[in-house]
Amino acid sequence: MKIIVNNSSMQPIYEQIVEQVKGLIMKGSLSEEELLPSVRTLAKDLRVSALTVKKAYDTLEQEGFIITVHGKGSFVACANQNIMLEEKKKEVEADLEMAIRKGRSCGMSNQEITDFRLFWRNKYVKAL
Amino acid sequence: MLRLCNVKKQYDSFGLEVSMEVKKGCVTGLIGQNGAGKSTTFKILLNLISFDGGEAQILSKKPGELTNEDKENLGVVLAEAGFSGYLTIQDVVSILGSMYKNFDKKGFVEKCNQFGLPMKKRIKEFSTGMKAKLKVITAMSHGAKLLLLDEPTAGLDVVAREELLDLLRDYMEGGDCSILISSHISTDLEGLCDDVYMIHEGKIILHEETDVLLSEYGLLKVTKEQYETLDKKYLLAVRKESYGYDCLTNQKQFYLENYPALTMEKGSVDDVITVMIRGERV
Amino acid sequence: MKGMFIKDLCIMKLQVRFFILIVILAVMLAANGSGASFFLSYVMFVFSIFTITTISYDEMDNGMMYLLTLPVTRKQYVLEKYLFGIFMIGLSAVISLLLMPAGLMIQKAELNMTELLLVTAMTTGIVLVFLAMAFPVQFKFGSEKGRIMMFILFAVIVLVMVGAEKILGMYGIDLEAGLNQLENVGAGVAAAIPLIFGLLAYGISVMVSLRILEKKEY
Repeated sequence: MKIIVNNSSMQPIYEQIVEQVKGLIMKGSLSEEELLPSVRTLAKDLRVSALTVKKAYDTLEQEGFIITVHGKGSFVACANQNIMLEEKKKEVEADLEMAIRKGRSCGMSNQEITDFRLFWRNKYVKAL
Repeated sequence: MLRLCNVKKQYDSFGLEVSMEVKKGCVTGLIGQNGAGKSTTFKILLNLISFDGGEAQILSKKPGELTNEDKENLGVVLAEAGFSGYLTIQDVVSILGSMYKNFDKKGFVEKCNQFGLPMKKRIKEFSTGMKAKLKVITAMSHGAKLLLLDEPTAGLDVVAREELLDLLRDYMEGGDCSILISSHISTDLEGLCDDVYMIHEGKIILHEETDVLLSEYGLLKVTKEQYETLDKKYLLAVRKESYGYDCLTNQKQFYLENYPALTMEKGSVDDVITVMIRGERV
Repeated sequence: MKGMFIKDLCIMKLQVRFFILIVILAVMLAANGSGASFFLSYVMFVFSIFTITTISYDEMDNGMMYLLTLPVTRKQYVLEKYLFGIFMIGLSAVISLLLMPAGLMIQKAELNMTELLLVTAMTTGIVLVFLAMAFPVQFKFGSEKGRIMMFILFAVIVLVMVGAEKILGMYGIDLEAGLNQLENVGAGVAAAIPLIFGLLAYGISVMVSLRILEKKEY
């Protein structure tokens, strides 16, 4: 499993792990029912604390991406398309929020932001 | 695996009072300056010194009640002590072999070779790094359930330190063991420990999961004017700087959201220690 | 305890050349002239003092602290040292008793086995008493201060003995005459008395050392 952790990033390490595992699953690099490395092994490989990895695995499990069988390890859950779709939507949502925030921070009014949105929507529809 | 509850030890010029715990399967770090009380804590746990009050437990027993069987489950590195420098690794092998039922001679010798430790040279002729490696390899040679490592990386260069920490990571991967490790070099602990205790002048000043520390602690750098208007609810400590203040918070997100214009640095064990010790607590 | 014993043997290995040299020298000197019994006692003393030296080796660089984190109790540590002491006395006695007659025979000198045995027994007794005093001092004060303390202790003992002789003399009891009479009691008893006395002192010393080490803080 190829994961790269950026220690100086503002994003918490466990979130980085969660995101990258999700990415690997979505890309298909991790296939269904594939065994993930144990918490300690991944902690060792990434040189992070085991608790960090555990937190990441717990989050992934809660969100339905992996299943942890006690004593056996963690497996990639059946790659549910719905979850993936949901996940992608969330990402888009987050990106939009970022865009709005950025707009606000440089003093754009709500109207201006809405105009922007409409402009891009029209452009997108035309492209289709 | 071990617990200290208000354990006190009074010396003429130094008093120790600590409460801490190492859970099964965890790597717990103890970090503090030289003379903060790290070694004293280890000595209490190992029954090398008595203590004046409180309760100490190690492997579910009081330190004074540890039998030799219990001690076989301990792997110890002491900061400034080890086998006599007049012995060779060959000697150490026969000594350990007759002392520990589970001594893994083959693994021990392999690791020594791997790290280029000569078998027939006197230990006192070893370099600091070689001595340190030998100590850690020795502590891991007999399948101990609990490793007590007091400053195992002291005096080592970056590369040697990383090699040593990798040894410990390998050990933890093996199975159900726990480690208490002390250091005054914070980066040693950031990538290894599950949680960290900070000790200063004999007192624990902070206990936090490493993960939380790295993701939720932050160092806010503000000017005097900014400091006046700052909501100080989630600040732990403040240190005066030439440009204003360094503020330590354990709610990075709060300040990032409410004061996006301020400069925020990701928390590190170093920042936390220096601001906690040198700054003023809020 | 076995581990500690092996450790002491490893340390002894370091000085094995010195030991062999001492033995050869002693045998040669003894064979050359009379004085066999003197050299025999000398060898035994050198060997047994080494037991005290092993404690210094252990204490070097805080080593004691580390040894006590291994599966060895403080009690076992003390007992091992006392047993090692007896082992060294035995070893030196056997070596001397085997080599002295050999040396004497090469020189075709007169061999008085009874005298050698008697000297061995007496020396054993004296060495036991010496170790019985040295161990607790070493455990209590460590090797640095221990050496000074041993010196003071011996000075005190010599003074007490001289003083005792003087006082006894004043009451008209002649110690020398008493000692001379001992020679008449027969070799067996003469050998047994210092041995028993030495072992008694050794036994008491074990108790004292155990107490000292149990309470010691590192």
